Amino acid sequence: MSGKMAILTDVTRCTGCEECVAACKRTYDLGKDKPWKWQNDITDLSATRWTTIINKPGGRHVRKQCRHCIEPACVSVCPVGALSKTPDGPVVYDGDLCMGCRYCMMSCPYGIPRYTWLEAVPFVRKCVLCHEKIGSGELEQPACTAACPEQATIYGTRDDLLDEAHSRIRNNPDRYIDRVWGKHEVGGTNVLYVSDIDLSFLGWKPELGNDSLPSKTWPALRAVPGVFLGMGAVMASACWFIGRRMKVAADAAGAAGGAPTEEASATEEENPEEKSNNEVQAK
Amino acid sequence: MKVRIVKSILWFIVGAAAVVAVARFACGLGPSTAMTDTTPWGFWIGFDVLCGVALAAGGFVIAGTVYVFHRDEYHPIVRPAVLTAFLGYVAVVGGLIFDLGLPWNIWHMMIHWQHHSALFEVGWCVMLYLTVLSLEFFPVVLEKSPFNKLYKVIKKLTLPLVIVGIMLSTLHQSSLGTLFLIMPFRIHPLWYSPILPVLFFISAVGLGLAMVCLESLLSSWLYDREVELPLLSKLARAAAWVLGLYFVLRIGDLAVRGELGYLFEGTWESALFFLEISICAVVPIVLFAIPRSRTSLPGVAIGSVCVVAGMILNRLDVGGIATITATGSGYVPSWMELVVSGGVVSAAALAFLFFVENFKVYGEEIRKPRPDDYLPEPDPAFETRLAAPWSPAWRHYSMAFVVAAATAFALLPDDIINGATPSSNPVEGPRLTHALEQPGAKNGYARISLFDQARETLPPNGKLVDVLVLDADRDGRLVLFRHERHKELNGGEESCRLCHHMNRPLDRATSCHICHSDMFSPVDTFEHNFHVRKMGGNDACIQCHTDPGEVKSRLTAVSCLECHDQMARDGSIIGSVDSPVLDRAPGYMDAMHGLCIRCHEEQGKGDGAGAKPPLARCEACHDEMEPELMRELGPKKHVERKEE
Repeated sequence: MSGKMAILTDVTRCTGCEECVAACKRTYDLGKDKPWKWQNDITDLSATRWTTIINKPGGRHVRKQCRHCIEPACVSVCPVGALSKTPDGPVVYDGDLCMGCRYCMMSCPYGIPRYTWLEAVPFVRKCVLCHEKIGSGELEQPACTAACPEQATIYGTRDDLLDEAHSRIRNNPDRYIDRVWGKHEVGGTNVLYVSDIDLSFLGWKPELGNDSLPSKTWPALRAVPGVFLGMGAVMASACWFIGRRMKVAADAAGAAGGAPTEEASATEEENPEEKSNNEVQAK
Repeated sequence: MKVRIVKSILWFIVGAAAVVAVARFACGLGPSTAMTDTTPWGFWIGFDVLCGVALAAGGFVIAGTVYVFHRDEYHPIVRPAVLTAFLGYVAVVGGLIFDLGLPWNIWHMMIHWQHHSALFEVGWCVMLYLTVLSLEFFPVVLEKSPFNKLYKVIKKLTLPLVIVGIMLSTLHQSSLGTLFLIMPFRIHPLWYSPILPVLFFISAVGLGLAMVCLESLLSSWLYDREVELPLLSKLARAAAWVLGLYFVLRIGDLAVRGELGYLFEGTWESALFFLEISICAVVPIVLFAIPRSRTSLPGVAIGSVCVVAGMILNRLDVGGIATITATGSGYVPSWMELVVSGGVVSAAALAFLFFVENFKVYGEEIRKPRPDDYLPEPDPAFETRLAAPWSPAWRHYSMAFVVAAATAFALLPDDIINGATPSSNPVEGPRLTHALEQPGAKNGYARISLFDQARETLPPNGKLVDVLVLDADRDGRLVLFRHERHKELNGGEESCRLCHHMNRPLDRATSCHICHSDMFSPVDTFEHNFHVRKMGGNDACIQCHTDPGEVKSRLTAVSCLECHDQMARDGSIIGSVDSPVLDRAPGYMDAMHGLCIRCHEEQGKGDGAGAKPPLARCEACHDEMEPELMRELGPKKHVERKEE
């Protein structure tokens, strides 16, 4: 296996037969979709439906699944490392580590991860690109791409698929919009699309930009050690400095018998109070 | 008496929350909360965690003022501030336990380090700061105990502890803002900003000051203490500066990012922003900046309430309300979420009152309600007091608790009591539409299919007929029902009463399945009489019912395969799906799905020669299943997430 493995979905070829959905469900024994109160549209992604077909006007069918971002937001936010990006490309999930904070679901720009809300012991569910089953040799390629009767969704290395996508667009410029979705968005994804309709509805916002999402958080997190130690230093020196100044002022006041500054006089008045407080507490 | 009423109310909320808490852990998050896949963070994160941490900011602000900046005039309010902070953080962790799906895995954060996660940092800071706070507050508890040495050691550590507390607070107050930096697509631009961490920290300082004021006023009212108004005025003046800085940064940030235009778009978000900024900043700044209102009790009280309410609103906005437009989520917290949050806060408040009454939290001793206070009136007839002196208080509390628990239990939804059931799709009445009728190839039966007049041309042998669209089941399947045809076949006008026999109140038309009962039911294909005749009358019984001693029944007879050995040949797919009792054939749907489709799928797996893959796909038979047409006709349950 060379390079990062990826999926290319060609919207113009998809007939909407949902064989990919069925194959996914069979492979992972996901069971039937049911309308729960936390899911009003059973044809949307859910814990029992890791990939789905969105029907668009004009007989277009768009497959929705995890995009397996190159720099995944979900992986970067997971506080326990339950989600990880494998070297092969898939973003995979380890339920044994998960603590159920659902930050991954909040951070995903495509709103992909789903939760088993029904269970008292719930987990996150999403497409894992059949990573384990391919690794163990049980499958040669993901169940969905294997099942597609029209080769509308295919599996291969990301580089090969990018070439394939570009050559399809080049050979049929009238048929496609000149854009490979997933090439650059949010730093690039391992699931690519070519299409004759605009696919921006797949994300929360029409244009997600080309910056990876972890890069938005990193400047703040990088500053953490500096802020931590800096704050400590500022506080310690402020404490020492003010304490020292007050002591000097108090000494001066004691020596001169006067009140040089307003603040010092305030301190003078308060010091006995503090002392008495301390004495009370010490007792 | 005031104390007792307040405590009874708190116990009431705790009682209701206790029942809901059990329900939440027994049944999971789905049935007990309103959270969904598009709104995975709800009220518990928005209020319990975001607001809880921010409201507890008074602890580090006041401790820093007193110990680091040597402003000893604030010494009397250090202890309540630290206690509030400590209990606040305990409440945050408590709320988080409810929110986390797998709270027993929370310790994983300590061993699986993920320094690129803001939540990891928040988690660690909260954990450490909770330890610091408990050490800061520990001397108050130790004061009354005989452990003098320990007390002295911890007391000496106060200054370093305070400084570490400030360091940790700075980090996690701001990191709560960092949490949302990764969601630029969810959060409305009026709230999303790269300087969210800074805004969160500064607002927490302002909120901490206001919270200390509010809490001091509340405890003064509750225990009839004198209000420390001069002190609170000073805090209010400081809060005015901090909030002023916050206001300038907030608006300046919008201006620098060029998002000021969103303020005047007239959307509900801009209205919300104005509401929020005026409650959390503008009104309190004005109230705290004018010396006359700052030094008056109503001025301080109203100002602090405004700050607290405004900042809570701010955290709720960032944590969820400002994401509604992007996600199209219709999240409204369920009452159970609200009760649990209320219960956590109430429990913290009860703990606060406990510490206030039993330890020296405030400068002067709080006069603890004595048992005498609750002495019942003597009975007029016998002139004796008919109760133990201390019982009424506990009786009140436990009664409040039990009544609340019972009420909450009675209100629990069906999903929790009986186990969660899928909700049903909305079903509408029959709708009239046109469909294409074509004579079938065989038997002369007509075939009806949906027909789009705008896009398709009418085939020569077809005609348009009126059909009723019925919601066949609650999974969104539709049936095209030809009313005319049913009337015709069942005997004209006379047949109306077959279905529409609505002579009783609430009666409904006969369901399809009353007549079409054979669609899904197994079919009995074994004709006993035929077999008897064919095999020679009564003499033949013994051929199938081989044991004369047994009761002659289906189960004791030999299998059909004994004679009909061609029924299931070796390697036949049909044989493998047969039931163990071979006298019942599958129903029509089971036959199609269980026998034909399996076989075609098997055949379709080949290299292509003789393969018939299309036959294994639903559309091969269900050609009327045209998704768009079906959807247009279906109940209007699909609310499009976004306008295209």
